Amino acid sequence: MRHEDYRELLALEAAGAVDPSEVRALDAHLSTCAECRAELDSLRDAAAALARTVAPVAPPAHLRARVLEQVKALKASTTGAGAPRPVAGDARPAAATNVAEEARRLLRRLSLWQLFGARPSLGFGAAAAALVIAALAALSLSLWGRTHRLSAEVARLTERLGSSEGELARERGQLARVREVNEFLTAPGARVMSLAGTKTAPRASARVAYDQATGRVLLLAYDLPPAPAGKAYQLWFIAGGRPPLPGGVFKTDAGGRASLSDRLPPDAPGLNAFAVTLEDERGVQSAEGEMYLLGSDS
Amino acid sequence: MLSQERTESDARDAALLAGVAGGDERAFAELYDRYSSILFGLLLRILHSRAEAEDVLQEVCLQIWQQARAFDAARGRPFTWLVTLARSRAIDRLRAVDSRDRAALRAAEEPPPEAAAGSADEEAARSEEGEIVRAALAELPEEQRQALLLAYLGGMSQSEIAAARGVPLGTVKTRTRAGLKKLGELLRNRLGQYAV
Repeated sequence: MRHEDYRELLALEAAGAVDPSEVRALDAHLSTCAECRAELDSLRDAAAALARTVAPVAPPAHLRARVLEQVKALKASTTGAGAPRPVAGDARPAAATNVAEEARRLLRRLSLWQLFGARPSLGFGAAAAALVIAALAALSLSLWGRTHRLSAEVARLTERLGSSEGELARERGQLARVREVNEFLTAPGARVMSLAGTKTAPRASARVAYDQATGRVLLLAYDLPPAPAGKAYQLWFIAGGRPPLPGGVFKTDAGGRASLSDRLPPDAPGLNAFAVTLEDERGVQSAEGEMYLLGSDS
Repeated sequence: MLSQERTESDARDAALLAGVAGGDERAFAELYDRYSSILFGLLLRILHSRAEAEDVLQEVCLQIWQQARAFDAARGRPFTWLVTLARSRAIDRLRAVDSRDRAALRAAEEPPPEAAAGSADEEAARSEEGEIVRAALAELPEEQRQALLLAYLGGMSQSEIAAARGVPLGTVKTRTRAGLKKLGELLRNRLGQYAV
């Protein structure tokens, strides 16, 4: 498409009427064309005016309280993630604080749009890329509202500053992964469910983020005992009243943590629970092994 | 007069968003108090479901908290940013709804609502800026106004609008585009404050 064709699309984009098939191409063009971005902003102002023609309606009072609570919780966890860990005689905590600060400053200068559309021409050096990783990691992880577990995750990422060229490639991979996680977690319709350990593994826990619209599923599990040889953990999708549908298999790392990227089974309306069992490492079609994690939406 | 009030209001909102970006919970609460009714009304209009609208409003609020630093006052008005964000999430929620339910919502959409004197719209009419926008809308040729409202507030895709109105897809696109551009011109003339 030529520039003029993209310009034609701008009003449709502002009116929320661009074909899904053209959205990606338009976004790609916009990330490189300031003239179109400016025109789109102006058209968006006009479109947003339409919201003034709708009658305002006060939302229920409890919603305000809930939102403010959630914001408080998110803020507490983000602060925890960036704060220095008290380690006697270790110079690193101060460095970690500075890094988090730098990351925050960097983020403030760039809009999230620019970050997600980052091109090599933005001139990210190794240090800057690592800062962005730390910042995006903090941003993503704060969405989960965790505390000390995630602060360890962020500290681990921030400690990789000053890495050599060799590690940069790995960090770029991590950046892509964090970006993917962040996009997924902020997707509209993404829901998060907590799974609790059963009697078999009372200390285990997990969170599952899933999005009915895109079918994406992300599982993060903690404190699972290592699977014996030949076995692995398997995720199950449970819709009320029907046999559980099999998901992917995964193993834990040395720290008992695991992650799994999966897809919702296409024919599972009424999905309201997830479970994790220990099965043959190739995965099975119906659950036979011990259940380790269970969570339901009630 | 109105354009000066709007400039001041925009500056205040931009300051609040900057506060939110810096983690200021009180700024966030003030922003909520200022705009939650407009956003909730918009969500209700698009989703036709109180439960869905409440859900999405919570999501929108959290997204505002998380992404306030992405707002750039040089590029647009705070109100636009908030509304665009809210509308996008509402549309995505609408599209995630089971297709049977969506057909029922579509049926509720026809005939397209005129910005008319129903008691539900009286509150909006009382707002001076709302009145100006409604008057400008009324000046659009009917088919442009319908196309714009169905797309923006009705959350209908261009193909759905084309099917509903019995006109080719290209015609709908032309009408939507022309309608929005004309609306923008009319508003710039009357309010004198829109960027560009």
